[in-house]
Amino acid sequence: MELLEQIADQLEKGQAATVAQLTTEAISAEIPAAEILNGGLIAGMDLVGEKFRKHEVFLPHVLLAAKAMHAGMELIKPLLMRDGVRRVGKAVLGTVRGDQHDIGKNLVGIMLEGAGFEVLDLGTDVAPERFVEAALAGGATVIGMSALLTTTMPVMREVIELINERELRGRLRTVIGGAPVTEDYAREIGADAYAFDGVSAVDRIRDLVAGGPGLLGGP
Amino acid sequence: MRRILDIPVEGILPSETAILGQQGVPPTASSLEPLLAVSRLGREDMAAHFLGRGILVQVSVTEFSTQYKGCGGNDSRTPLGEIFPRAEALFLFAVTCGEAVTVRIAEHFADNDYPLAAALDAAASLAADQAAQWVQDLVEAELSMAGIRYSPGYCGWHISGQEALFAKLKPEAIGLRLTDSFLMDPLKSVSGVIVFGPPEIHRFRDDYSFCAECADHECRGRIASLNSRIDWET
Ligand code: B12
Repeated sequence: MELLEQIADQLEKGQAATVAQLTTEAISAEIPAAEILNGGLIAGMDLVGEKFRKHEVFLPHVLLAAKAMHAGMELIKPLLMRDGVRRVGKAVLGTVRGDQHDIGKNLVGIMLEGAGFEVLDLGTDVAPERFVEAALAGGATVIGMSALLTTTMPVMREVIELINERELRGRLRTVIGGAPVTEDYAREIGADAYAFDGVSAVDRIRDLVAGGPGLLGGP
Repeated sequence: MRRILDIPVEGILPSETAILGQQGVPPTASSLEPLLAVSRLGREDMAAHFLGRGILVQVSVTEFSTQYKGCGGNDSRTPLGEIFPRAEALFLFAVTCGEAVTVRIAEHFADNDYPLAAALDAAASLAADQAAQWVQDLVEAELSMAGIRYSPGYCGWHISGQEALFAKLKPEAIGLRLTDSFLMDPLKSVSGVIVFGPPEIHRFRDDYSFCAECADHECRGRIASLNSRIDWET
């Protein structure tokens, strides 16, 4: 098996130590970091993501794979920086003001990183202005918001209104999720996308970054 | 009388398969070994950091009817709204797993140990619920009666109902507070009321407006288990 395929295969199996070792080998063999990233690490995450969609593996399997991805990523990060490799996209992520639930948001962040995105995690209890400021300052094009309570969900609407007011619609695209959030709610408040779990969040955000229409049509 | 309870970790600790189940893994899934290993670590971490405490106050039906109304956000028809006026005993409660578990979960995320973070999170969610069950078991044993518990945020009881519960319980004494958005801090906490009375008051059909959106219809199992838990003949 080719080295990058081996990386993908071991990553899918959640073998962090082996992934680290194979990544080191790939670096020594002077395989460009961008190829290790795409053909090895992200390819492996895509494999496990595909199995997850088919219910062949479950969340903890995906997290073991993500941990292995991280082990490889740490090794190639300096090289990606050196080579000026552009990431797939950049997203700001946070749990909205008044809410402390962060496991779901963290899982979405992990999956996005696994898909090659750069993630700026603002943590929990994030005010609307902070979402927008952080996205602008960090050059992110996607804002992901999480809420686990019906009482904190309305803050998502505030963020979208702020984006509209500042005429940033289209430049900053929004995706929302969390237990009480639905696709209907996303439409109602004018979000660009909704996802019910981390794996589908990656799909939706890939679409948005590629200029896809989103829920309301048109970037 | 307001009672403060220390909840022992024994009997609260979820099994490794339960931890996986909470994360959506069916017991029949293949290649479970590595997952069970992570669950085991999560369980041990839970045992080391669980600081379970509970608070319990008995209230009268009259008092509860004011508390239940809360700030008026409840559905017009709810099971609890129809059951509690016929109750023989009502107990407000709040339980928490403590702050340390939540801190620990965040630490595992920060260490990029995602599987362990998620396992501990799942274990703590189960433990919070189990802690509420522990309090209920305690009262059931004392009263020789089976009860059913309800929580604000479920079954048409608005989440803001917690404000009235907290005003009575004052759970700051167990390190638990309610934020303006009705979030309990620490996160792994549960609040509600335990309703006691003859079995017939507890029976209802889950065809309320909000039942359509409910994924698990857990109420069915809870009603069914009443009979097995207490010998009503005595
Ligand atoms: C486990 C659980 C608990 C546990 C742990 C809570 C916690 N999360 O830490 C315990 C038992 C402690 C608990 C307590 C309570 N809970 Co609770 N709980 C749940 C439950 C069953 C699962 C939540 C969970 O952890 N899921 C696992 C994680 C990984 O999933 P997730 O956070 O949803 O994230 C995923 C997706 O939503 C999505 N996602 C999340 N964020 C984002 C962001 C973006 C951008 C995208 C794209 C996607 C995305 O992807 C994530 C990964 O797959 C939900 C119902 C449900 N089925 O979701 C109720 C639920 C959240 N709880 C609810 C309630 C009411 C409560 C209580 C108020 C009850 C009470 N009175 O005691 C308390 C409040 C606790 C507090 N601190 O304030 C309600 C909240 C709704 C409301 N009315 O506001 C829910 C929705 C149940 C219901 N009634 O339908 N709860």
